[in-house]
Amino acid sequence: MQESKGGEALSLLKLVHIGIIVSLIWKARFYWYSLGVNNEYSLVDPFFPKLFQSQSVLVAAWILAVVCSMLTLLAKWKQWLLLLGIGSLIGLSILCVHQNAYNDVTFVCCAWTSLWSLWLCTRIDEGFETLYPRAAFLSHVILSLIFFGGAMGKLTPGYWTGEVLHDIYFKGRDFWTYNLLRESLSPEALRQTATWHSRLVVVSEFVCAFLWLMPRKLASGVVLLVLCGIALTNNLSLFSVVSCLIALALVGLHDPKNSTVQTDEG
Amino acid sequence: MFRPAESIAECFRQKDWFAVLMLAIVVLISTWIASTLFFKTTRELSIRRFQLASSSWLQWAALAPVPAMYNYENRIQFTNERIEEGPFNKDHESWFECPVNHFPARCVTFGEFAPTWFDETRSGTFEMSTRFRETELVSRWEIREEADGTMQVYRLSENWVQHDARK
Repeated sequence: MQESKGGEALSLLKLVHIGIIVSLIWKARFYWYSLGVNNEYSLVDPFFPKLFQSQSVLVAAWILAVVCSMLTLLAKWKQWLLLLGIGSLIGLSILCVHQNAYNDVTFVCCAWTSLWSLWLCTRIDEGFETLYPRAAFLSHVILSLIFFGGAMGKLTPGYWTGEVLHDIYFKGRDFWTYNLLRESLSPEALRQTATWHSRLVVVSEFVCAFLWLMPRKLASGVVLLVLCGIALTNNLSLFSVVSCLIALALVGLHDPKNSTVQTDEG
Repeated sequence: MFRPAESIAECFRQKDWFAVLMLAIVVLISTWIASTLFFKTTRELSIRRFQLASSSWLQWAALAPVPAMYNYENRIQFTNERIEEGPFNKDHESWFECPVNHFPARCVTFGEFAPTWFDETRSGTFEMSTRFRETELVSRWEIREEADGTMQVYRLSENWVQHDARK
């Protein structure tokens, strides 16, 4: 068996899988609750094939994804890394189309992150000086796509007027930022704050949709700020969504040991 | 050289076809997302995706990689009454309405509301609306208890509503 030569690339791969593990484990609490509920209130939607209605398939897919990411932290051989990368992607892809987990943003973001990881596994033996700029660029491309999807879907009157976020978060969400705003603002001022907050969200997502055009470290810095801001000011459960993306963003902040690596930072 | 141009050129220099494929997929998905602003067909397919109203599971699953974080304006209504196409009785004790920040069909299929909605009566009527710009889809489902104790979703209706895009 061939041991991978890519020391720094392997470190980046493991960093990203740590992000995936944190995301999946952060989400486990919700799915543990959901499993109990779905056993007691079993619901069949014939839209889904039987396989993708099964609770056992849901659990198996989640375990497959977590175990593959965990084993990646220990693996050194390219063949194993590839096999684990494929396993992780399969598990996450199943979760993305299962009746009880579909299009959960956590799993969609983890699946995209996992695809990037699988790509890195295929190139793990390439010289880091040529591989790293591409790895950082592709990580920013994926992050940009996720924000582009978010931004475009908000180009609708409810987000520009702030009505959607006002109704979902500002009116009654029990979180420190919203509790503080409700205590300190009149209902009219709260509604106006929701409007400007909503517009800020749309604009910041559009900025993050173009990370791939920015210099490497600037792109990572901007997206880290936005990702941490999303979770810290809205809902700590959102760390299940952003943890894998934070790990992907950290790729762009790496300082290669070999100074001959060509980066846009010079 | 410009960063994207340099990176893409390097993919070809290194014969990194996996990266080229990934970039092609990203371009394809971005084009799809952008097209929902201008084309009714892709907009309606995207809205259908949110309500599990695609023509088949396979067609719906093909859109799963499209990121849709906090997309569109989504609302749901539920009552334990079986009202078919009739109006919701907002005074009924089981009537529930709220905005949601994700695929509205998930309120039924993920089971998170089940302990509240189906604790006493394992049936009801569920309505969801998803609006993107001037296009809105309102779908109604009925949830019925089957002989084996499970509940099953029955799709009752789908109605498209056109709005003034600016309001």
